[in-house]
Amino acid sequence: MSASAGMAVRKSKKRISKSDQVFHIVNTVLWIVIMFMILYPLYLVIIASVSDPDAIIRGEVVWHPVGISFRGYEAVFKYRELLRSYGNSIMYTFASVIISIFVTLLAAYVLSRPKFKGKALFNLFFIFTMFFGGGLIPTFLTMRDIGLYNTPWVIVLMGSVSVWNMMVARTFIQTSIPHSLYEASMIDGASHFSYFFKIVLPLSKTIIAVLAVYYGVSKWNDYFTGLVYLRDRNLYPLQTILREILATLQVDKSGDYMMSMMDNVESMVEATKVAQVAKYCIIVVATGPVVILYAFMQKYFEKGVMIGSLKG
Amino acid sequence: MKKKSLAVVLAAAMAASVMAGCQSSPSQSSSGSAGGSAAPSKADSSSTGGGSASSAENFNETGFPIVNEPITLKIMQGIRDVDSLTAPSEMPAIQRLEEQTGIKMEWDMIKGNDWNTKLNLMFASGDYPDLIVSPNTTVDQEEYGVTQKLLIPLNDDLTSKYMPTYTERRAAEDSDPCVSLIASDGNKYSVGYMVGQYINTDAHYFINQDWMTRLGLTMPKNKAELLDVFRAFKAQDADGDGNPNNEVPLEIGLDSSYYSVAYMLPMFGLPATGKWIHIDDNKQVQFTPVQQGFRECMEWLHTCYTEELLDPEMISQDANTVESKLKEGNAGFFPAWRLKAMGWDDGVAKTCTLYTPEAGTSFYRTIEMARKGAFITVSNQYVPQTLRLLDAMMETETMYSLYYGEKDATDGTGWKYNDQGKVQTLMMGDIDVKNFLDCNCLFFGPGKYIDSVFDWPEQRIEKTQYCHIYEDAGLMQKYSNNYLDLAPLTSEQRQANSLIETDIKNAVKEKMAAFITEGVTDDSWNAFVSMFDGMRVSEYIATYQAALDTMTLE
Amino acid sequence: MKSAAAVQTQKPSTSASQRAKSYLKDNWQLYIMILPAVAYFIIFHYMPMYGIQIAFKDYKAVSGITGSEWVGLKHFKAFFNAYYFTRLLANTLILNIENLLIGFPIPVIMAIMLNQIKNDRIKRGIQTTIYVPYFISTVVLAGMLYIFLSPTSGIFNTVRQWFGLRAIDYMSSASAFRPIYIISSIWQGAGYSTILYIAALSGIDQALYEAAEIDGASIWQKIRYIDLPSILPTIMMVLVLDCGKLLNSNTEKALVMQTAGNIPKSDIIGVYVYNVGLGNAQFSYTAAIGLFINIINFILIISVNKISKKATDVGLF
Repeated sequence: MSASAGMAVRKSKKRISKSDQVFHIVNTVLWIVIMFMILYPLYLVIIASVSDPDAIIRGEVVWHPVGISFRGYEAVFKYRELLRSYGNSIMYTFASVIISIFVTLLAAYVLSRPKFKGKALFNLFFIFTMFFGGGLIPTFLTMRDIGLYNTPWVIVLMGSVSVWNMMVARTFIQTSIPHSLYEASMIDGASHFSYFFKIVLPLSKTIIAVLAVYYGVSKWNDYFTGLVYLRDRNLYPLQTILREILATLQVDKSGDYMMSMMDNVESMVEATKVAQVAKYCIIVVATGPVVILYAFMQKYFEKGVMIGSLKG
Repeated sequence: MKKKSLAVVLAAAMAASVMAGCQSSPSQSSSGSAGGSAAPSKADSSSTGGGSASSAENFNETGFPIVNEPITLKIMQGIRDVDSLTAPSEMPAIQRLEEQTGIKMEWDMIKGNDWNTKLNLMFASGDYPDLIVSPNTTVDQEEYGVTQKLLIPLNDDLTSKYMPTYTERRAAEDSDPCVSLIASDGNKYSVGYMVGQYINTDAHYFINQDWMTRLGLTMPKNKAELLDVFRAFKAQDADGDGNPNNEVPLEIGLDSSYYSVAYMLPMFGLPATGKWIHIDDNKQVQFTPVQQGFRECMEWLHTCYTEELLDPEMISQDANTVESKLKEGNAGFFPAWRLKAMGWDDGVAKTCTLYTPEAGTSFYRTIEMARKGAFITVSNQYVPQTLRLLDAMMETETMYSLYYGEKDATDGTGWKYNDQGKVQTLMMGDIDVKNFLDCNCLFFGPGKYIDSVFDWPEQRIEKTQYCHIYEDAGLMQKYSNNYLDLAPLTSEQRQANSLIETDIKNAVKEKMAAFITEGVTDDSWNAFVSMFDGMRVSEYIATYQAALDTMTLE
Repeated sequence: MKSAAAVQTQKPSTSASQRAKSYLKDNWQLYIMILPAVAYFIIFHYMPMYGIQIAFKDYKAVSGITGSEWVGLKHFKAFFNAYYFTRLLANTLILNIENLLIGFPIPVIMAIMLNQIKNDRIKRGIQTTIYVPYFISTVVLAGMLYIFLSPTSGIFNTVRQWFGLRAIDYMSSASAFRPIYIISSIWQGAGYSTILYIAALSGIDQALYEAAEIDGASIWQKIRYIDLPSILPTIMMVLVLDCGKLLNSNTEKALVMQTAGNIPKSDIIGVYVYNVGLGNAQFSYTAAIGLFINIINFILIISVNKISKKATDVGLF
């Protein structure tokens, strides 16, 4: 670079700096505000989980726990089935995510090929299912008929492929993996299989991370599948068990809970109170692993994952 | 061209899956009578046993065990959401029952929250349990019993033969408490569940005596005086904490169970509870929200609202929140079930007392009748055995062991015989996991029976006293609204009604909120009344009236 | 001349099948690769698909789905004639559209802004934190709303009272329902949605930034000319997909937030279906409502897809 060009760069760098500075200030302020808005309620959840239920209802729990009590955690951990369901969920999520990523990415790859014949048909085939379905009863009957009812497989497999994720993955492959790579490989005599496994997959670390998070969280949070398709309580995933622990907290519109006015109403009222705290404890208990999973996935979102591919 | 072939392919795919779906009907194998046409053989109540000949032989009509060769019955049991129970097979009372009767029981415990889903899936799948026990959850007997014939009629010919204990207790009452179990086709499809309490209504009124004493007020005799008392509570520092205006004179919620606005309507002559129709003294079905008393109540509450005599969170708070406030004690007046054993011992139970409103008040009258407790499905091959099993569950010691826990237990559960030989509960506070079924078991204790056997705890006596007071003061409605629940409607009518009811409920709730916060004008009232024409309310009332006219009311 | 003509006529007739053959030879693997996904949808979605009939029948468990009586459009008509039909439809649609308009850009903006933070550790920390609200269950979220907005003890009203204003029971106010719903939805979901856009941004070729630096571009310019166009396909994809949900209902959330005061706005289709379902087993009726919703959603997404393709060349299919 000549001296004048260098000066020009330096000058323009100075100009850029000022508006960039403003940008950075705005950005910093923005994030401080956002972080407060997010952290405070999360903090509230944690302190509420060790507070007295009545104090919570009366709004006394604001900056610190009130009436420290571990009744909520006690109630949650006393459930014998909790530990086992925790283990179940970890296994289900792990198995399911691996299957999901594999199947989704394969299909996304196929759909991303410009010359794929029948693409419109397959697209419609998939997208149709996003809108139309038989409903709970026929799905239930189908699962029963093919023998998936009351097996771990129904949890692992149901919901393991999402059209939404498939389409997003397809877009990723289309935009992030240049077609020139494909053409180069084809000239070198590669097949779709080898191109996919040798080139696409390694370059898709980012989208794989995204899929891992989205599928993983969805599977981890799912309580409904276990509720409907499992009979054996040993197979129950975490959220189904947690939901039972929380069952008293569905906002009771009919007052039915009072209808059986037995002698031990007081114990029932007390149990309801404990449940008020337990719901906070449950969040703490259930959310831990997913936050860890995500923190682990962070490195795949770094910039420059693509570097090196173009030069090949 | 491409689009057309696309459509053709899709149509073919749909057709193929529809045809594939034809295979997936309720399984024929597990319950032979699922196909509907085979049902009559089970529904024929006069046949004993049915099915295999061996089941008729494997049966002792009296004495124990009930069966000579052990059998297993599948039971689908609904429990309350709050209940945390061990597996029934580990409950001592159940184990004793199994030994005694020779019948092994396989339990499927389902919480109230999930009950509807699971019940409907169960019926859809064609895989029925032998017995459904659901005193605290509902089974639509019109739909599943009368219309679809998946439940067996359990009429007196069967129950008098196989359930002596049950029959005896029913007969001991002045009037048969099980008339409430009769469906629209005249059959009973369930065995009754009843915990007699000698009550005649749900909620009573309570006023804060402490506050009145502190301010030197006398018990108000009518609504106008009541309003003045509220004002005094608020303005004159009734709770004596040096801070006037932090009292809540009227503690109710819009839609919070027994603490709801609906329970204020009796003071205006309307025996309402939240189902918005009632029976007036002339046996006519009336639509509560359009009555004059309703308008007056709304105006009265609006006055309370503008003068800040109501809890500010009134519109949104739920029953749990109200109870929390009552526990704290900051309430001048409220409706509730009772004071004792509600967790309010340091709150309103200490300071409040029953309030008896003026004449002209009309409280909703409840008639104590059995609830539908247990059903037998068409796939049950051991009907007499099952009935005898249910009867065995009702034997006094067994029944109380299932309900409270073990006899003479030392862990804060259970029951014992007191010095007069009556059953006395030992239940203390809350136990985390119960090894008994609690109120989910098939308890059958009508009034007379319970009186003779059970030592009433003080909170029950308290409640009965309140009921007597209101009855003696002539504040109860003449004909109970319960007759509306008993009215023989067909399944079609019920389904049509349930849609209308959903609309009504929402409309009333929403407009009540508006009336209370904004007040009532002639225009807004007229608009409110005419709104219900669009909801076919007159049809709704007529259906009930026609059904009611066929009944005898007492 | 003769041979040339002969060659001319021969070419078209063989090359069609030849083309097909050569296509399959090169691409048969694609059909194998897509097979697992296809199998999944056949088993879990198409096999139960016959159940759509329930909407047109009077379903009775004892007769099964196929054995139940056909009633055509009876349930649809019943729904259209429901007293609150128009309100249900309007509430659901408006709520979702407003939620989309306000809520959709936010994760994009957040991702772009986050991308500009230099300090990697801070960036990671923020990324992890904003993702956590997604896991707060609906019940707890509503519970917190009640607490924050309580007329007696909530923060908002306490501040109002400092200024001498009277406390408002926000949770009972119909006009406050949508803002509360939308803002809390954004609070809960925005961080989660940024994941996708952060991932998309991370895939941008660094060389582009370097070139921009040399040209003296400011950060705003970089965002406008590099970031946005690069993630535009992803943005459009998500937008189109979200437009296919405009008639859906977050029933659990609406139920928990619904109070007598806000019913005029909080009564959405999902809540109605829930209330109806609580009564007698109204399977067919609720199925008909569900089918109606799905048809409208489907039409919406096809329309939006067409528009998207015309405007930005990117579409769903």
